Amino acid sequence: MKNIWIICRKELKSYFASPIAYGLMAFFAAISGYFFYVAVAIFVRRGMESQMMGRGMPMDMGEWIVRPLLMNISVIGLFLIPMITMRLFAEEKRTGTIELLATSPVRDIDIILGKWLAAMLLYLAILGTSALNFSFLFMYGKPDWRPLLVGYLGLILQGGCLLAIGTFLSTTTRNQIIAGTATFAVCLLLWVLDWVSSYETAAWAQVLSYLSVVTHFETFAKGVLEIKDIVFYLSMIFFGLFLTARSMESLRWRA
Amino acid sequence: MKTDWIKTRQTRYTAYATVYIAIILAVLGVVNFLAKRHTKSWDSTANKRFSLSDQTGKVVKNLKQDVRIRYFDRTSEFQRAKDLLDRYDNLSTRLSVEYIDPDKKPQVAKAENVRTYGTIFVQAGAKKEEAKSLTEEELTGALVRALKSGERTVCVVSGSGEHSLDDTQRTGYSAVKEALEKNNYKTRTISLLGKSDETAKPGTVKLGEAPAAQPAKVKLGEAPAPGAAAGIAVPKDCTILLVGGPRYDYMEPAVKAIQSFVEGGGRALLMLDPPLKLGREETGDNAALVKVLESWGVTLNKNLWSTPAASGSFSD
Amino acid sequence: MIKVEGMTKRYGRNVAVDNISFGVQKGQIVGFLGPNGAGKTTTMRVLTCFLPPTAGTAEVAGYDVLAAPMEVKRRIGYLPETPPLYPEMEVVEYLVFVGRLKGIGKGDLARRVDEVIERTAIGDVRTKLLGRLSKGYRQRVGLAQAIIHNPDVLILDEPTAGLDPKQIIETRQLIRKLAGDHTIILSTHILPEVEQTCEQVVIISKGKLVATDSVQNLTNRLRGSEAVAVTVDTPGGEPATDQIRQKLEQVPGVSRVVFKEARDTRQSFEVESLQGRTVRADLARAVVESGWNLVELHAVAFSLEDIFLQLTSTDATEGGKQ
Repeated sequence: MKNIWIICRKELKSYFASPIAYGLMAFFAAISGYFFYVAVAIFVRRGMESQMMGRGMPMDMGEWIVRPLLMNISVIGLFLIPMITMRLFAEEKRTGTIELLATSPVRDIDIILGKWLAAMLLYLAILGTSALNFSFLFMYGKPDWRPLLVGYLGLILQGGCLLAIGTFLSTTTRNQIIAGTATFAVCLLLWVLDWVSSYETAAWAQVLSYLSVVTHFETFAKGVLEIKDIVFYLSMIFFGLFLTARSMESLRWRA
Repeated sequence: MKTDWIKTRQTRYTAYATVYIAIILAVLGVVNFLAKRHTKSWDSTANKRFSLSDQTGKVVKNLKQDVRIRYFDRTSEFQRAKDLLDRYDNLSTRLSVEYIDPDKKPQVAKAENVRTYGTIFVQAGAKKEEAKSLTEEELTGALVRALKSGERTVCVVSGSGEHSLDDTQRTGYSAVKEALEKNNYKTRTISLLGKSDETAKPGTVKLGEAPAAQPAKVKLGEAPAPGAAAGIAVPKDCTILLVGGPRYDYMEPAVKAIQSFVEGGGRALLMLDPPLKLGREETGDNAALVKVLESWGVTLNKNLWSTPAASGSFSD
Repeated sequence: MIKVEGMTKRYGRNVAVDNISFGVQKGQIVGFLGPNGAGKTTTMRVLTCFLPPTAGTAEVAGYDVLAAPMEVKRRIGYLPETPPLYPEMEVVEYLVFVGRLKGIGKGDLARRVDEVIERTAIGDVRTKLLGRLSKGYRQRVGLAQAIIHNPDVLILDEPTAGLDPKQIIETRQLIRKLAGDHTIILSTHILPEVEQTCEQVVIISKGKLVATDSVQNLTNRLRGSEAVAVTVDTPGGEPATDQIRQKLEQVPGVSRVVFKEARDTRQSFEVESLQGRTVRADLARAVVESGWNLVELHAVAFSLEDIFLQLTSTDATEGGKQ
């Protein structure tokens, strides 16, 4: 058990020792900040417009700001996550340090969980920078905080899921760039699956659409907690890490 | 050498790994399938924007037959509809939702007689109902109607200067009649007047000639109202009673008939013009009817509501 | 301490290690000798539980590598060919990490790190980033991480590769000091290293075991035969090389004649005798009786190099003679 933590700490230190972590946080903060600004600007403008037209209707901050912003942030995740996971295993394979890990008295699963956990913690830190934006909403208004929390839970679960996939793909090659690109491609695929098939009714379309992370995240973004979405994300996390374990095993048989 | 290869640890390992992955995939697939079927959701928004009402839930969950909702609109508008329609979809496996773009599937649209973008049809078995707008009330309403068996009749009261179903003028209700019939309602004009004040009109039923079953119609537990004794009551096959702006006051028997009907479970739509003495047409106070309404807790306010043309609006 | 029996490791069609068996006693230092690509690294990786064997068994400290890998891993220290260093870590940080990984308790950790830094003489670079260290220091840090948890068995893959002569000597001294407390198996293709540090030698070539013996025995065994250098004068190309060779080969007691070189009009050969035979006198007589001019005749000393080359180049059929 504590082996997981040992590996996790080392990985985190690695992330923060290089510009990676800070770079990603800055990049993310900038982009989410920009999206926030745009959303608020639209909100304000629409509000003024509708007042001038005599239809002063109340506008829900949740609908106009929180929800689209959460959706945008989840898209940014597509780019962010490959960058976090690409070096997890690929680098160790390249420098040979994987031999150290594999010949020490730690189980494969400890190594995998330790690394995935480190990636999650980094992801959470990056996500945290967006919280600043939302805190502005609270300073100047009274948005509904519960859907916001649910939305973040969705982001966290979705992140965990994609990070698990990224971790797996990182074990397949020594080249970080290849790992990163493959992860990005898979994340994109999971994203696009929804566009392709969400409005069809055939059975195959339903299955494909269910596989898409968007399908499930949308519910969280609205502020609705559904058991099926939680189950989906947890199964994907499990599956991603399971594949990673199989991959590590097969490394030993093929080396 | 070749057979050695099959027996080696390596091949055994590969086989084991493949089977393991396949099994896990299958298990996860089943778990997710079950989760989708039996999902529970918790809407955390303050006003429960994304939940359906309990009533809708009850209707859908108790579905005994398959229901299909079809949404006809441009693909770009699907997203908007999805929010609401998906919630219906998730409530029951018997309910399915289809999104059809009439531009992309013109034959289907034509077959269903779709004229405008944004048409919603709810179909249960052979019955098809249209939901007028993308709201829960409309959808559930259409659903309920589609599920109901039997005919529905709207009985429009006449004889006291109400707006008439056959009147095609501006103040007439001929448009109402059309709309009702389009929605699978039959319409009928009835009279709640006594035999003596009635002038025979085609299509009207004279209460004196009503079948003997008439008195039994008056509801359970209460002594038959005086009107019933004289044979005045809302006919049994009326699903809804429509009172459209009577100008003359209703007599006691008529009011009692309406009261029995509503208190016996019938539905009534009472539209009463304010008793203005505007010169040309006088509208009576209709005190008896108002009293019954008040006994149900409905107060008629005699207020004015005007919309000026300038910007800004006020109402009360 | 280490017992390998019938171990084979295959990658697809490629056989890296083919049915080797050997044993190492507690406290011994064994040299694993073989040309590049012979299967040394693979064997070590099997012993450290990094790779599972395709067939056969391997046992370290009484535990089987397939059945109880965690137990094996707790008792070994491994230095791979490229020391497994994380370039972004500092020396101390790294050693602390490895110590924790190997299961050293929090209380002992600091002490052990200091101890091991002193033993491998890397105190000067304590706070330097691993990525910036010179090859020599890297190797030493690698050695440090291998011994930090005081394992029963040390497995070192080419521990002196890339070091300068001074560092090589220091490293060898360190290894020798470690023997006794630890059982050591080290691989190398540098023969003098084996001669100087190891007691036992396991020679491996093309995945197959060629010989395993103590260094002493091996050289003795092979010195039982003689090597003689013969140089014959051949004015005008007469006699031909083959003629001379055939003649020499016919001398009783000769196992092999190798043509060495032709310089001016002289041809030089190296003649090896069978075990326990002296052939010098007979060779001289053979040359003279043929009417050729014998220019030079002297004995050649056998080095381990020769033995090695001999053993590995003749696709030796003898295996595991003790």
